[in-house]
Amino acid sequence: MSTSRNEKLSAFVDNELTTEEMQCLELDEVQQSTWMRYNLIGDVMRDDVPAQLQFDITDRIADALENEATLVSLEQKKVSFGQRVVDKLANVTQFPVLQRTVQVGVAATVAAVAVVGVNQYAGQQEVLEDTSPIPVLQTIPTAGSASPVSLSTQRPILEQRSQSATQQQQRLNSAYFEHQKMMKLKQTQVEAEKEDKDNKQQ
Amino acid sequence: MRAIFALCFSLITGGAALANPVETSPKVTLWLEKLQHGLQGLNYDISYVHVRGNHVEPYRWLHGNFEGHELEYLMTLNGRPKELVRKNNVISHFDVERPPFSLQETALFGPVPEIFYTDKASELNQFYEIVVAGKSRVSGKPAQLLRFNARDGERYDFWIWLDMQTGLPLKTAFIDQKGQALEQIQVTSLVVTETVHPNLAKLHTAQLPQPIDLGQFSKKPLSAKWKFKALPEGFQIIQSNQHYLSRSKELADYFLMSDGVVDVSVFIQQPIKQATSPTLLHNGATTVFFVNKGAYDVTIVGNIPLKLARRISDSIRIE
Repeated sequence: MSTSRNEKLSAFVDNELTTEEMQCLELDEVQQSTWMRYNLIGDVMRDDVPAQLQFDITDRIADALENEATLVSLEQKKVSFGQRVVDKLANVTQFPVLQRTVQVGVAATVAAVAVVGVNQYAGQQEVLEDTSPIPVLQTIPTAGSASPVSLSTQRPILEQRSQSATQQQQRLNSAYFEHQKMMKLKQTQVEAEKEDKDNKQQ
Repeated sequence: MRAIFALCFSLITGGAALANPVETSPKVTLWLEKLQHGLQGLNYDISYVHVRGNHVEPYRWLHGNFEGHELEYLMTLNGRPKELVRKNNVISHFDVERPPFSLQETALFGPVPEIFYTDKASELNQFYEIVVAGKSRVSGKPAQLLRFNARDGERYDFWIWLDMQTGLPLKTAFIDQKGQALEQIQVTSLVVTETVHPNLAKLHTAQLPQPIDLGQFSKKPLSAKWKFKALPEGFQIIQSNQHYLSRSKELADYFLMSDGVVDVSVFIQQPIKQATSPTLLHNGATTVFFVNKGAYDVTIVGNIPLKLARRISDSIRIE
């Protein structure tokens, strides 16, 4: 962050900014923490500090947790089971002697996992297709699936999968918050569009 | 003779019903007017909790008219304080984590859909059968229940309990087809006063941030000619543009649609590789439905059942 921006921020904290300047001051996270620090400095200088300073992040964490929506993944049972098996196997295969024997084992297990997984998926699909408005809710915060074919490829697939799962979860969370935000801004937009139309008519 | 009479009678009434299928009963209109006047005209101090699934969020909500100005105040009571202040149609947002800002709006984002602040609430009758249902005791006061039953049975019913004396809301709920409440707002205390709350009177003279001109965040047009083949009846698209989502910084073609009671957001985005599709999230009555449609991903968010979200996502076409 540039010094001039910091200066502006400081001026803002001291109420020395004009409105136009204030509107340019859109703060990112780093700047926000700077802003809070400046406020604190200001408080210290003005002797406004409470007897005990509290650097408490618990409610911020609580806030974040609260806002976390509940995710129902259709494949989540398959994931947890498959992942557990794969993790276990990964530990075992640390020993080279065991590796070959395990490889055969993996193939068999994977086949079993795949079958179980497909069955479960089909079952859950029905739930989703069902006319009942709400399927069973579960609080598992991860999504994605793992279906390794052989030992050599299992790691990359897992990583790729979990990456897309994170990306997907971020996208869903972000859509949820955007919706809340757009509902707040709705009124403004409607008014603005109305004004637009009026202006055009004139 | 009696049969002919009955036939004539049924023809007349049937004809009347056809000609005027959405006439609101005077009783309903009376209660909606009472609610609107209560919300806008009275000085009140309300505490309420918003119950969403397992989450309970308490709020304090003040409203008053002072020297010709309408003042309103809303604050979260748990965790980090977040405050909203409304002076006429300018709403200021306060949050320790970011600098305060103001926006031009006509209704405070309070516990009641905006339409109840206007005289258009009775138009909801087209899509919701509005029923003046039973009287009961809510928040220690005699209350009148107004039920908004979805006529198509595809969206949630909305129930609102009004204080019989003042018309102010005491409780609201989104009810699913099984009759279960998915999301509720429950007033815990309601005080109506002759004069405005002293803290609100103070707000009158307080200096609030200047409203931001949202025009500066000009939005881009959509990336394709999207078309909704069949929107659920009563839903109107009130916004459509392309913009970056504030959290994930991803670009999306965005639609906001509303039937007056619920708002639904539709996001159309570049597909995520190997995403789990379809995926479903629930938070209270809010459904987040994600589905991959080949060349694009669709995410639907709103207080609607999964089935309706799925229908909306299926109706999207490129012209």
